[in-house]
Amino acid sequence: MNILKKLLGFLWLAGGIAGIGYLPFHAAQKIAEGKQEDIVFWSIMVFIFIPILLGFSLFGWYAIKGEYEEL
Amino acid sequence: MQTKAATERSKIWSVITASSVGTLIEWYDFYIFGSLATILSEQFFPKDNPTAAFLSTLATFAAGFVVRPFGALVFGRLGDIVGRKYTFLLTLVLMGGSTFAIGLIPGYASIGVFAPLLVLLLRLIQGLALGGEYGGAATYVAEHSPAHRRGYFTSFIQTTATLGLFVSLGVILGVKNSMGAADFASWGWRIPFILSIFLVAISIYIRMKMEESPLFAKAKAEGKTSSNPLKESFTKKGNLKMVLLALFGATAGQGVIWYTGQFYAMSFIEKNCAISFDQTRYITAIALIIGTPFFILFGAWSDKIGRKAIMMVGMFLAILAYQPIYHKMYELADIKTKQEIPSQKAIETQSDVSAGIATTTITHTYTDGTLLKETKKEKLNPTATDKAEIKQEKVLATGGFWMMVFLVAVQVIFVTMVYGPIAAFLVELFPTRIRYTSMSLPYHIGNGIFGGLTPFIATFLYESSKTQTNPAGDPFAGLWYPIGVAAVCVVIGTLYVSGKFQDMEH
Repeated sequence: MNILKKLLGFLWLAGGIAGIGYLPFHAAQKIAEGKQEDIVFWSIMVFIFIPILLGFSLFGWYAIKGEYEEL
Repeated sequence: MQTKAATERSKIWSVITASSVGTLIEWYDFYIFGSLATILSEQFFPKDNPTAAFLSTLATFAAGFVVRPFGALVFGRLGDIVGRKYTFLLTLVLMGGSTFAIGLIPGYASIGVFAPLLVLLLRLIQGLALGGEYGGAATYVAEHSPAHRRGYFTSFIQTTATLGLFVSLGVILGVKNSMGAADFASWGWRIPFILSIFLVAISIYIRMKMEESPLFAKAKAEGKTSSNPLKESFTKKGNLKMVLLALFGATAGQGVIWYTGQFYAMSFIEKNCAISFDQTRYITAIALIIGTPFFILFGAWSDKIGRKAIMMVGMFLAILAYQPIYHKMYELADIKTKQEIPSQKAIETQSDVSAGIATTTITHTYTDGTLLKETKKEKLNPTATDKAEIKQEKVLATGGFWMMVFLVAVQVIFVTMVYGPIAAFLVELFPTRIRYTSMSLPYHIGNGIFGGLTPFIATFLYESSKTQTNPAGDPFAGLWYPIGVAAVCVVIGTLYVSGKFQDMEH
């Protein structure tokens, strides 16, 4: 079980980093189209989800380091 | 001995009542805004683009959710330094005051752009207040509860969010039915907001009589409270890793399940299925009442078999069931599958010459008893101010109505499985000195952001699924958001969260 926790840690870390890279890029493309609903939606998404994705990456890092093995 | 036990029992129920009534009122305040989103969008935002107006309202609604984690930080810190009791008194005053004030703001037609700005500001205060309230109430009750009944006692706090939504729907329906739809849309919608001030006054009176939590009072007397709960909660790895685990292994999934089952379901019935305003709210309100006792049941059960198992099974069942449930809901309202009775078709035309508008209402009746009312507004002359529009509204027959209630009630039961034990689960993860701060943040990111944005993101996904080849879009596209978040949460929760009972006396 501990090995699985660590292995999945790589997935959470990679998923978080990929999201941090993809979200602003995709949001910028959508916002550039100039539709009012896209500007509102993607601005909120970037503002909120970048810190959460950072936290998700950190969670993955802790999992890789074995911080959750004793639980 | 018996007298002491009776006193203790009476004390815990006073604690639960004082905490629950206040929290229920805060949820009521928070949800009347969401329940009236469509009317508010007409009152406070430009009328020329209804989709933009609706999305703007959802954004304002979402803003209330987005600031909740900040409220959790501000008031959590205060609660860990000053105490639980005074902090959640303050949040109650802020919430009641801002709700009351929303009811008094003039519309966009009177004060222009100041109207949406004021609404946004007050909505932000509401979000901050709610961010501080729940953690305080849950911590306060948990710190009064014996360890072996903590899930049971805190589950009463867990009912308040659903009951707050129920009361908000009840008040809205009551006010609307007492004055008629036109008056309600014009000014009557203000009454549920203004009414809040009286409810809050009662709750403040009850809470003023309460004492500080015994665990916090003991920690304070021994000089063991934290001088900087934020630093201790989020910069020390031992605690931060538990905050992250609580968020990604429990509260994120709980948030999307909660808002899908209780809020998105209502939005789906009204917008995607085109069921009437009143019937949508009756369906939701009855389903909430059917589901509410299950919060207590699952909270109490979590004292026996553990919090984790119940929460994870609830999330897993929701993931499996959402698509079939929503397909069935859509099918119940789909007139393409029904047979019309042509002889019962009724057409009514009214002309308002002064407004330059002709309104034609066609009522179709189907063999299963469903009614479809099509209202078509046409301009009589080009100078007419009202826009031409076509509206469809369905009223389900008894069988369809109760089937819809059943389908929403099943979703509410998933909510109770995930949400019933979660207060006990969260308070047990963190020590007394930083409990309020540490549990509030993951709760409000999970519930407020992941959950609160569900209608917003789901509506966006649905709108994005509309293409030139499929202009109607995929009505079920919005479901992929809660399903995806809950699926990740189930994997993390099942693998990483401990199923053992935790000691809270630390």
